[in-house]
Amino acid sequence: MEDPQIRAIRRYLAKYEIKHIDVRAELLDHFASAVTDIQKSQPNLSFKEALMVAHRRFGGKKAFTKYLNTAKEKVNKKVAKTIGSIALSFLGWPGVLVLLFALVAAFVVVRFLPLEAVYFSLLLLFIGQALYLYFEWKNTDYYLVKRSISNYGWYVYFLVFLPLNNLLLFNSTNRPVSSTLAIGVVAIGVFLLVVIAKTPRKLSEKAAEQYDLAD
Amino acid sequence: MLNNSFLKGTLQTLILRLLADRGQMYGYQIIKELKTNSDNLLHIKEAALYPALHKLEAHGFLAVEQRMISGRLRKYYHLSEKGKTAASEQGQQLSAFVKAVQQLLKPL
Repeated sequence: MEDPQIRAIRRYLAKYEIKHIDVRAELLDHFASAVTDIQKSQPNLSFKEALMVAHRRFGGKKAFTKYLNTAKEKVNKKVAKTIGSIALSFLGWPGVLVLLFALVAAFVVVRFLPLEAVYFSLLLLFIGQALYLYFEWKNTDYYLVKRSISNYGWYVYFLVFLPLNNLLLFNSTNRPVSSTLAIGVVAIGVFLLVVIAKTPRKLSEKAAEQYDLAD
Repeated sequence: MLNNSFLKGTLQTLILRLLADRGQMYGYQIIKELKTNSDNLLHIKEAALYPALHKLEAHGFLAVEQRMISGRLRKYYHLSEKGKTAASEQGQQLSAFVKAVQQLLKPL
């Protein structure tokens, strides 16, 4: 198949949101093989017509949505696994220093600042990080990286803000929440900031390793 | 053409059996082989094949090798050790199931 035809298939896939290399590679080969096959059995069909036949056989627009949904599930698992492996890498030397830093930073802020101020400072830091990551990676070639940015909010919400919200809720001047608990939650927050900052690059390297041959 | 709902529970087993016989294959080749080998009776929705392949890969039944063919990337699937065991076990189970169904379909 000629280059302009491959480009036409790429454009066609992009129309159905299949535009990242890691989800596109297999379908590009599928459609190129299908079109070649169709044109061999029906030589009177033009490239465009053969592509339309391949489109119908594939299942049309609905099939692309289904394909992308299963890809999403697979990629979400990979993102979670990578975040876990980055977090675990901080248990060895010298990564453990980051953990210690997170604990010390949490201790200092919880000791000297009111819990509300800690909450809003962390909130601002996470919003800043989310914006930075979004703009840094918005043109990524890999779906894996795009999903990790899309999932950012969920991780932060469940691991940091839900516990912090509960701390604030149960914190009162008469009965303040345990400072150990507060230090623990804030330390997780600071640690997560570091882990999340490293995630997109790690995922991008992983995807590049796997798809270094693809366009 | 057969009712496609019969295929739903058996597609993964059919893929495993096919790869056990053929060694390694790519997506489109698997679709074609399943159609041809079933005398065009099995019409798999092409979009259904890839999620099935990805699931088998995620469960460790399939391993993937990537190669450049005519300037584009092609993923070749082959059975892992776990996949070889699964292909044989699931193949036997499917044969037993087909026999049981045939038995039930026999006129009394």
